[in-house]
Amino acid sequence: MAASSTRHGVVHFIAVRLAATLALLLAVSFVVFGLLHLTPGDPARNLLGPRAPSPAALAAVRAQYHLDRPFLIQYGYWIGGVLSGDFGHSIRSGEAVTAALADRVQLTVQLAGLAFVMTVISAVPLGVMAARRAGSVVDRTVSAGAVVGVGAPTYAVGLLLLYWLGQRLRWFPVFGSGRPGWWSADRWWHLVLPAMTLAIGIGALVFKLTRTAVLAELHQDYVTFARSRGLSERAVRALVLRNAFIPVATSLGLVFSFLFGGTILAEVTFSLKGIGAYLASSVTFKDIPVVQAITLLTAAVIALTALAVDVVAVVADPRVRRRAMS
Amino acid sequence: MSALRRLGWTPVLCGVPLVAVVACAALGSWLVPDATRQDMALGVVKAGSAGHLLGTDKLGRDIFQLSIAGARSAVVGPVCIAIGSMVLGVLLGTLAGYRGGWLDIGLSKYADLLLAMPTTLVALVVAGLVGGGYWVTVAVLMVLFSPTDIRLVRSAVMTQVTRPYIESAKVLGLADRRIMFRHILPNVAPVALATMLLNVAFALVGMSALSFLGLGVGPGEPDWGRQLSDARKLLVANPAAVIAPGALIIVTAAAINLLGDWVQERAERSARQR
Amino acid sequence: MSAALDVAGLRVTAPAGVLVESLDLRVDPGRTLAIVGESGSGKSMTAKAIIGLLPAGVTATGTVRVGTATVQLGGDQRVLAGLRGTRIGLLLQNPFTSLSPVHRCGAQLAAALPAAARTAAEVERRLGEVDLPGRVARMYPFELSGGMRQRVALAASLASDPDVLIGDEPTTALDVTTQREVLDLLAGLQRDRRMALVLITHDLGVARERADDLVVMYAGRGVERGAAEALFGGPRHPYTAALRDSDPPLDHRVARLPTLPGSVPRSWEITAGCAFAARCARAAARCRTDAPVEAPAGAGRTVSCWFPLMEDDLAMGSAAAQPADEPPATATVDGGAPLVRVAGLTRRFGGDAPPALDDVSIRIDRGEAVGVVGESGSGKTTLARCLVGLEHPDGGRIDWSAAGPRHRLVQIVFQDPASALNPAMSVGAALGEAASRGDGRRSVGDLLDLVGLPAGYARRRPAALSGGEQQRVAIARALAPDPLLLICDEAVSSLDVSVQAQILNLLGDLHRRLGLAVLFITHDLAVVRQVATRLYVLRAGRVVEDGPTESVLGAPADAYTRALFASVPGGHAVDGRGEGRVDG
Repeated sequence: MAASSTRHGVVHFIAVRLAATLALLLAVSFVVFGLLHLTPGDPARNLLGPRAPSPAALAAVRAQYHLDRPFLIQYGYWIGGVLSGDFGHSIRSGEAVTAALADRVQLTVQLAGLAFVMTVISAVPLGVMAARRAGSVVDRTVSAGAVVGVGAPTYAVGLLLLYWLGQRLRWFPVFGSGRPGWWSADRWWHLVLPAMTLAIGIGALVFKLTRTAVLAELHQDYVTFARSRGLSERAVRALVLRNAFIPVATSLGLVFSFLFGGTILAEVTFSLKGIGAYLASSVTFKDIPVVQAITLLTAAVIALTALAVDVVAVVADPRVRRRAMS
Repeated sequence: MSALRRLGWTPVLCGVPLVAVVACAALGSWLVPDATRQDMALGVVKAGSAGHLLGTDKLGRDIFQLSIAGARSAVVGPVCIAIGSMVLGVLLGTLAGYRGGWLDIGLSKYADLLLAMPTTLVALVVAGLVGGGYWVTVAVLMVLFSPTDIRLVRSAVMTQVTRPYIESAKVLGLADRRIMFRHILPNVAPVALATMLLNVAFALVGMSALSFLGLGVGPGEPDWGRQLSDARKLLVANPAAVIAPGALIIVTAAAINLLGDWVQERAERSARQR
Repeated sequence: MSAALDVAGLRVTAPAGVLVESLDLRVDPGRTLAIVGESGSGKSMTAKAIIGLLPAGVTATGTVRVGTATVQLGGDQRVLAGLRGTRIGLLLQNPFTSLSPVHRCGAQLAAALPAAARTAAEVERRLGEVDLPGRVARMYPFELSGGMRQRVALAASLASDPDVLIGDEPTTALDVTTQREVLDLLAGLQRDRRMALVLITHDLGVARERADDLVVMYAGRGVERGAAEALFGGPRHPYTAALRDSDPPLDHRVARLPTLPGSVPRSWEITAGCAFAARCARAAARCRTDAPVEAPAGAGRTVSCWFPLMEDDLAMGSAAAQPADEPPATATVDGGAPLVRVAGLTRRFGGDAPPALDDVSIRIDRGEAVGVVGESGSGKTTLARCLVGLEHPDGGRIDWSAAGPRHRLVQIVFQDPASALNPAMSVGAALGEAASRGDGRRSVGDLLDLVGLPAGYARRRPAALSGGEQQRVAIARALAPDPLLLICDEAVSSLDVSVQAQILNLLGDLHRRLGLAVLFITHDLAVVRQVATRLYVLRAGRVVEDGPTESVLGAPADAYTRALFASVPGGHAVDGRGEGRVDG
């Protein structure tokens, strides 16, 4: 395989996947837009929200949102706005959705990022260790703990942690988001408990995935063969990890999915001003433009993550590379 | 007794709390008929006070009784979700895995699409906007869980389809339907049942998460997730109001998960021998 | 001369029980020792135990001496670990899983080279040693064929220049022509490096052709040891003799292969006495109570038997393996119309891959036994699948002279009996279902009787049956709808030699009793010789030669057939009487 044709093939593959991702997002945006009409009741009435539904107000809303035009035209207006950064206005507060989100996105990104880092540095090494000591007491204990962690719901764990480390021991603040800012130590301190909560649930999942992947590799013939050639345990471990890296990396997409769900719950539990909590309250208030915006953004992030995972798979696994080029 | 010992301590250890929970779910209205009785005059009371083992919440409801009553919503909905999801999974997964072709491609794309979205988020948005309610949430979760089961059954079926015993059945001229249900299904069933059990745990967590966020059960109904949501503000006044439902959810989910893992391991072991 | 490898008192234990019991073996530098045995003999565990790479839960005791270094198994693992690669090497059976799929071949080879020699030039030299071009170093294993992968694995195992190489069925997964190339390569490397080779195999032909010395294993025990020529020419242990005689000869047909009743027991199921006693025609009371002791049986050979065979016993034993005349070609009932005629069959599998079948024409007459021989990729399996309707040809036609639905015309028996039976269905249910596809004449009891199984087996599940018994059930199921043609697609290839002989005899009996036409598909020329009166040789989807078995195998016209015939290991030995091995 000449190197240049490989690179050409890989670029082509990524381009195809990118196109598929955009097509998927288009389909999702269709559905997201349709949420307005899915909601029971008159869309115009819903869009008015708490304001009085006088005929004049209803007519104004109908004009503003083009509700009398065909579905596709309405969609066209909406998607046009989205692509230029305008998601409309919150029914509840009247402020521009984009502005409302901008304040809150920072916290969610910080929270998710911290949780992800905590997860990776704890769960992956634990998973590798458990696989190497499969069947031992250590392995069985940690694995049982992981099963509990996977099943334990974020909010329940969060509240219990809140009670213990926040209330009783007073190590961490109980509620609130702290002073905003990427480098604000106060903010990060407030995020430790929620991030820990998330990391427990997701860490358990990542632990299981890592353990299963490494264990599967350890049972392969090439490990026996490598040992028989006199390779050091360290060299054998390098072989195993390089192979196990692929299934673990590709399932991180699934992990990301879980992370999103968990973030919503963590933010609500700890009263944090992130987009997760914003989504939850917006749903309760039927603040449809906000719901549409957050849902679409989430879908975009997840789709891009899936694309990134595919790219990693092509780069890391020569077999996938070969198949991608054919 | 020796039969129990042969099983191993996992199913026994997990079985005990689960039997207790199921008993509470079944007999709840008989055991604690007025669990939801409010006592505004009393208000919040700490655990260990007279007549209230775990104290009360801000509406004066006894936490202990409320927790027992909450077992029902923790069992009924999740079990329905798991069963419904697996039924869909078996029907669609078997067709997709056996027939292949457009049906398979379409179903796979559908499953991929659904699996890409976080369950909680989609359930929140759909069930929330359409209008909460217990059975609406159950239906939504059933649909959201089905892609995993469809995928699982499909891949199990596809493994069997290439095996010579299925090809022999085809050469014998047996009808497709007979091959699918009499030959493939019995060999796919153990893994499917094990997954169904695990799905109950995930459904439990999912349902209570949604009721925590305000969906699912109605405002006055006993439900562990709702209890947690109500009790957030009572962390200082009566921590038991938070600990009781939280611990119950964690223990029940963990017990089902451990039991499900054990069943899954046995199913896989017997599948490997085949 | 001190031995390159000397193993004494090897005992391997697993949670289920003892896998290998007090085994001794020894091989000198530059010589080849073959460990021969059927499945369950413990030969693979022996290899892993010697090199100290047993799976978790399995332990070994005994002494291993490599050159001047002595190791006590079960003791400190570090000494044994130091010997791996540098003194003892291992070559595994499956070339598709021996190498890491995500690392390049050159890197994997270089990993075990001594640090000073880890250069590209050295890697290229090593690859050249196994007849591979230097560009292979930059390739990934999945880009290579099975034979090439095995050569890379061989080069990798020799990277640290071990004195002894243990090959665990190293060529079993390869085509017979590739097998010969790799074995020749091994022999050459042995000569150049003065390396000892321990060859573990179930293939008697390979052992006969390549081994200087031999150890025969049965149910975890070594039953006979000595020079290969002597053991094959004049076995002393009844099992060795039975094994040798059950192996179908390549150069002539026998009326009936001698067989052993029953199947190989698990090594831990034998609690007292000789492991072979239950199946031995010569067993006496003592054999059942006292485990035989290894005793000398001539110059440089030992046998573990209370009543070893003597010279005159051998003459009697071979009477059962008389060559038989080829049965006359069966005249067709209709005086001309064959049961099935395949004309110009073509099948492509998409893309620019070569066609699986390319204008193939064969015919099978009623009641005739026809063989189709070929290596992997020859299209023989595709041909079978087209005949039974599992696949549809892209061109050509298949014409049957009999009427009726296809399932009453032709049935098929597959290679792997374990996966050919529904694990969730009892034997009786499976046979009953198949019988309902016929005209209801045959009952489950009849079918079991037909294949020599007791009626009580109807209640059992396939997992409770041995490989040979499972294949019998598969044959019974195929015969249930009374087909006119039975296709056997490598039906005996996965079976042990002794069980293979039983099934071949059974197929021969059924063929004669029922007047059944048989299409026997295999890569094994010796097996097809015993079964088929007429033969087709397939290569890359085309028929390269056909005719009566005797002439195709006796005097092959096509170059490929000649090469195929010549590649069969041990092919030139006549009836095991040691009439010269073919060197090189």
